[in-house]
Amino acid sequence: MHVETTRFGTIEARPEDLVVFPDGIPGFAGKREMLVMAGGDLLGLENEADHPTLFWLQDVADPDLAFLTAVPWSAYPDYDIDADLDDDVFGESEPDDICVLVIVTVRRDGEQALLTTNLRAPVVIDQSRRVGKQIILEEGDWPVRAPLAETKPDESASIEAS
Amino acid sequence: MLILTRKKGQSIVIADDIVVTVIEASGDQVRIGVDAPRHIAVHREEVYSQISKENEAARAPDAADLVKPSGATPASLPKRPPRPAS
Repeated sequence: MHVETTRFGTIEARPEDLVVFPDGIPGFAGKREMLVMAGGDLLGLENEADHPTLFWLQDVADPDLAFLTAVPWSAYPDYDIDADLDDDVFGESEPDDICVLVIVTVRRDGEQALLTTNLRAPVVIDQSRRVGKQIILEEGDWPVRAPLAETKPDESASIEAS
Repeated sequence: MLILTRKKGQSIVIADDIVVTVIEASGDQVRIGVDAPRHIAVHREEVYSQISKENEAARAPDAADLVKPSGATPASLPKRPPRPAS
């Protein structure tokens, strides 16, 4: 199938590249289907081709709706989610199939970009069953805007992990 | 809005399977217990609202120049994300 995107052009996707969010995500209600793409190089975050740490979640129905996400542990090794996943979405999931991504927010100020990540509400995905859900952690004190990276004012293309 | 007066220990029932109980009330604080099926998400309003707003801010990020999909080809997720060695 073809997925139209405003950022990346038309992308040829296989069914196994998609993840269904039956509950949508907060702010974007209703069932959503997202295409998962490995993100390219974000300097300083060790995004090696074999072990990408950045992923784009591209909405299949809305070409303009995409989220940049990160594997949390590269920047926050101590990150842990102690959440009960035993619900309608993950009830039949194997623990080994569970992946965790955190949504990255990019705020621009002129040439500078500040990247923060939402550790309070991780996106949990069952890799095998291809279902996902953004869960809100009631326990723990993980911030909604945890610093992730910042571009240098004089080198707008260069990113340094903070 | 339906407004009901409840005493400590009393509940209200929503639909067939959601029970909201006043556990404790003191001063301007009320402790509330919610008994609901697993698929019903229950959150503090301000937290849910904060997450919604952050998602709005994160949607369509102005970052396609910073982080390009590698070859624009979909990739599978790491089966087991790296965890800190313990």
